[in-house]
Amino acid sequence: MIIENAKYHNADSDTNTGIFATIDGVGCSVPLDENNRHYVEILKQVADGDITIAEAD
Amino acid sequence: MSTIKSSAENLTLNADGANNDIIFQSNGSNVATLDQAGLLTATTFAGSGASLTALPAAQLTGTLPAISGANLTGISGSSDYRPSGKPIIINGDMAIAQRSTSVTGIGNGDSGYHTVDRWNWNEPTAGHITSGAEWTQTQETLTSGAAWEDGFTKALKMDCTTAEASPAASDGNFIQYMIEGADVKAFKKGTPNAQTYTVSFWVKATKTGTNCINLGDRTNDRYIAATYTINTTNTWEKKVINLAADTTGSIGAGSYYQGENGQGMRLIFGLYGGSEYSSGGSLQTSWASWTTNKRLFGQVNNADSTSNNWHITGVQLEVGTYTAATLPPFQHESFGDSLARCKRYYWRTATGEPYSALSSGVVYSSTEVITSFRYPVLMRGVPTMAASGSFSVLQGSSITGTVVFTRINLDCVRLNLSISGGTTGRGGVIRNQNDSAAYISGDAEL
Repeated sequence: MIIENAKYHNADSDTNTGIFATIDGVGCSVPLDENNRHYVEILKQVADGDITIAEAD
Repeated sequence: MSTIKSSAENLTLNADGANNDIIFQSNGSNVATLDQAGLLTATTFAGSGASLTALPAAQLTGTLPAISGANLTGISGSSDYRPSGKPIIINGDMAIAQRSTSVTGIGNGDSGYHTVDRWNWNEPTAGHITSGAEWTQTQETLTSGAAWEDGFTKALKMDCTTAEASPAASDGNFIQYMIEGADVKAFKKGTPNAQTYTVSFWVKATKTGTNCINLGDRTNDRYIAATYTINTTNTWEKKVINLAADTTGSIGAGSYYQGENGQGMRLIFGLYGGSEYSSGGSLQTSWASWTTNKRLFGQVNNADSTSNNWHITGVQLEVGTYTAATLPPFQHESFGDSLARCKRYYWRTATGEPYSALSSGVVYSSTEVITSFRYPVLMRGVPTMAASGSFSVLQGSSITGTVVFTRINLDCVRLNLSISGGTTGRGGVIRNQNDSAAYISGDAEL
């Protein structure tokens, strides 16, 4: 799974509600849910030092 | 009235002679005969059946009386039912392919779902981004062969396009199916009443020889392995594999994808693997902790030539132990039922129509359109939302923009469009911008 341009986003709140990322070439919105395979993979690649997640605007 | 009677000793009626029977008559007509072999034949019988014992099975013919199923014993197989009466493996006949029917260049970092729904192509993560085999994965249409003759018209085909004749130690490719926790309850895994497993499927491969399957329980990091043999090249063969019950490690008790809607178990088909998958010296044929080096012992290399193909269909997983002769028939679901079950894990809006509307809402500001979008079914988990193609909002005039998903939930999402020059307060319809290939999708796959 190739994850690029990961960036937190928030909607109507001051807390992060998801992650925008390009996954295998497609723009995606990933929920912050540990039962979501993309979120699990993002956390893994962050832990492995392969990617970072930018802060929300 | 006349009576034949003996009060003090036995009474003998003797039809003496080689072919003579004792015949009972009523009003001049024979009503019963007792022949020399002791067989009593009568026009009618009365009395309690409880007095009859040792009835030969061959004599029990004709219409049987209504009997409660609770009185039946010795039935082979398991007493457990399939979940909801439906097959445990969704899309085992490979009929549903929402994403695509053919994808080339799969390999080297492409773990995921590509064509046939619910079937995942997998390679280990670390160190496998730049080397190893590559494949074209296709939802194949069958028009002949034994699998087709058994009722299957679709199959998943892996066509090796970049070979790896001498795999690196850690290289390996797999086709796998992840089973939601709620769908494996009937196996009672991790309890004293754990049930056995039977895996059956149709398979065709260019390479003859031994192939390995793994049945894994990721929540407890346990698995069991078995083999099947391709006897004849490029010929459909049906396989039936029995796997032991596991009284250790209940589903949902682990730390990864916990719960009934998490990853209960995974069924894995090996395509090839390097030495890290076989250096244990044997196959893990009993349930034990996950040990990579016993997963593919003896596995042929289906990726050692670009001439190689590997196909599979008709995958079923049953509770209990069956043989090829006793295996329940494959449960063919209607296309609609199977598609609806697949959409619990992944759905995609239909393509093919330019300017097709997705949702309607309000132009919230000059830069943002807010609409709501409800999924076709309640999803397994909160999905990853994706948008591909060009989109616009029709709000009097048409303004192109970028789709933004927020507030993602199990059954709906806020589908917004980031624009410039919108008229605040107007109603708006988000649609594809003359892009008949555009779609949005929800992905809650395991």
